[in-house]
Amino acid sequence: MAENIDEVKKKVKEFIIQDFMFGKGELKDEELLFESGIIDSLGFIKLLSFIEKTFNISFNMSEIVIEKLNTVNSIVNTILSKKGTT
Amino acid sequence: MSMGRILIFLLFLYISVSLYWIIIPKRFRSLFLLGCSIIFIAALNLEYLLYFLANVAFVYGAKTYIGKKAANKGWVLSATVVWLVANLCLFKYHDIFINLLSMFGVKFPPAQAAGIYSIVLPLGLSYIIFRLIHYVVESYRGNIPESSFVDFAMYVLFFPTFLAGPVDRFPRVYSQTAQGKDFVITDFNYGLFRIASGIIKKFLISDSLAKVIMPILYAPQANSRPVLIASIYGLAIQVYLDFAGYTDMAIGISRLFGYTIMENFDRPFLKKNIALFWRSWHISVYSWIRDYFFFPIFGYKASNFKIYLGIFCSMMVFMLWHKGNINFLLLGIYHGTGLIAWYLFQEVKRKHLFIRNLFARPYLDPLSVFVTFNFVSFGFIIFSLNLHEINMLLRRLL
Repeated sequence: MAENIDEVKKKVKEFIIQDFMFGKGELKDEELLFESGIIDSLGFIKLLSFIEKTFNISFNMSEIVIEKLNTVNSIVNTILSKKGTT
Repeated sequence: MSMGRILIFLLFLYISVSLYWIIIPKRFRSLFLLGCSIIFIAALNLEYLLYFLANVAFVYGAKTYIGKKAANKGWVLSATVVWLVANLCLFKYHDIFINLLSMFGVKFPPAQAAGIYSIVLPLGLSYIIFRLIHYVVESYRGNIPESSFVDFAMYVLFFPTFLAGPVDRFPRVYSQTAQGKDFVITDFNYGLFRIASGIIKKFLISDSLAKVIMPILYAPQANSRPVLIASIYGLAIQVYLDFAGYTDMAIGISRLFGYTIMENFDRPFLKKNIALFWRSWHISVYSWIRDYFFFPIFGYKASNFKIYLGIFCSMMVFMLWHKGNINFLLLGIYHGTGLIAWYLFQEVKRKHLFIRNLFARPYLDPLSVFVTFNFVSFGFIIFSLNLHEINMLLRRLL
């Protein structure tokens, strides 16, 4: 279980750092991605797409809410919850 | 607004704030604020008040039904949203529909017989509709805390933000209601400061700027290019101060009652690109369109084309929400195109390290701010002048 969390977190962080931070800088697990300007509306959609393809899960429309996917930790928790591994 | 009305409002505010903190028990404060809001709206127009109360009751009924996890709650949500949007469109765009239908030969009875031409947009309607849609959608998603009809109605009709926003979110407002704050002098003083800031921005600086700038922009042939460019920049600042002034007053008055309402602006003219600008201008409505138009319609299973289409359409909605005329149509196209161009440029930077490094120099930041400010400022020409005036101005500049 702990390894799953670490693997998921590593992939999510790598994607965000590469795609939205141009490969530079550090990303804290509780950093507010939207408020800090790391991700904008377009980026949020791309993040959703990455999560769905990489982890083979599907969001429904009511789950597309920024507040629920605003930090690395909340993203990881959502992924694990949808995979039924929390 | 006449001096008499201003004085009456100040008296109303003084009495309501005093009663709120000195007399009204905490458990009745939400009801008291609802009462104050009802009095405020009734003083503007009693028919509007009844219309708004009917819609508030309707949405609360829909929320109650949805909360019972009924099998067809999706249909109830859809019907409620369609009803609310239809109301907004009817009031805002009925004359456009009538003109369009007339062009296709549809005959309408004389205006005085139909009465339909006398539909006047109720003050504050857009903001009311936005709050109602937010509430019913979030109820469907299970994000609305347990609360009473009074708390909901107070949130929708809250008089400090009734006329011009900001459009805050129910959970954030309700959490403050539920908290039952005690009087805090620093909060109160901050409220007074924001009210004073708003008065200075709107009535002293913005109105004075408009008196100087607009005659210049209306008569471009009589002025030099540097004066015209300075006036265009001044126009951007004037529009910002006008709107930010109202927001300051709304936030300040809310704070007198202990409520912290979301900000609507975040130093928009200091942003380095158009995407950041739009995250810092009219934040409450822009984020509403993002959450209840862009994401639900374009964000689900989105391809790149769908995303860019969504960005463009969102900007069109935002502009046409202001007014359904050619100016705002053009403004939507202007800013929608600008946003897409910016995002495409970001894609180019992602793919090409050389270009990314070229534009990553810190000394380019002031230039980025300047370019963004210019792009936005010239957009305000479309906002403020008619097509003939824009044409004359551009001919003089170019």
